[in-house]
Amino acid sequence: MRSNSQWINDLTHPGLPQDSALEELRTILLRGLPHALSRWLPSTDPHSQPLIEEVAQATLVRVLDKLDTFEGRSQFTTWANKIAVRIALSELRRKRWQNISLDGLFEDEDKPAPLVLLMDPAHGPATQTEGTDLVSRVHTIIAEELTDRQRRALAAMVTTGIPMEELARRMGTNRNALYKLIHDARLRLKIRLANEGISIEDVLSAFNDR
Amino acid sequence: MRWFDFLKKWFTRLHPVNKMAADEIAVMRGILMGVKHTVEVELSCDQVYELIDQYVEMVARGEDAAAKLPLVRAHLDHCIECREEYEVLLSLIENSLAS
Repeated sequence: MRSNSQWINDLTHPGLPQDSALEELRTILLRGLPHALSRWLPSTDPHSQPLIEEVAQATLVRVLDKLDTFEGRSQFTTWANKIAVRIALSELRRKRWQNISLDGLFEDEDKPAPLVLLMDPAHGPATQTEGTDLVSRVHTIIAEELTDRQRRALAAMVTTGIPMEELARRMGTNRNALYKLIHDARLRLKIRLANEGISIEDVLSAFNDR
Repeated sequence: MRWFDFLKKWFTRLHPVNKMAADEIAVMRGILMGVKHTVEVELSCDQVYELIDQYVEMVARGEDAAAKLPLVRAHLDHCIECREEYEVLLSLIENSLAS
């Protein structure tokens, strides 16, 4: 069994050492991925083997490309498997969602989408009543604190379960930036709710009472 | 039917929440569940990706990974995709250790 330094040494020397290391790594990936991905894609599915082969090949390419970023904080094979898992799940998610529409939530951002419309302060219940209903207050806070983009992103994720990667693609951004957008939204709401003395538990209970 | 419009407006003033669609309530509930466990400093997906192999090995060894890398754990609680990748990677590593 190769040590981390042996892996790095062999993979950085084109020729026999590199070929041998790549072949061994490929074998390791092909052995482990089918079972690990079986919840996503049963090994009996005819698409399973071609996908695993494709993932293994893409992983080898990326491993060579990113070799200088390996810091030795884990086993080299764990690091390589991490890359393989990211590639595999990205592809599986993309295939799963490619034909699913988000009902115009992002296709035309000038046009208010149904769910976002319901959160628009101009259309919310807060403008129709002088009441201090807890849920109405939260509705107003969400409408006031979040940008339109944040409301759309949260609405899409909560109602459809769309993966962030796929949602980011449709929003013309990346997963990292989308996570930060969502985190900012969550933090704004948390701070505002705290400032207004609103307990999240009380609001969730109020929802359950409806 | 002006009397009906009057009744509708009166009812809405008393029960504004009933005006909200079930969809909207579901979205609000989902948002608030996420808000509940939000902290000021959270790692990004990229940052967690850099650490997840280390984290998975700790878990596989039976160490308290959540205590040693709490921000990774917190991110996994919020991010479905990172959590899915973590679970698949952990399954891979545990199987390879078992064999």
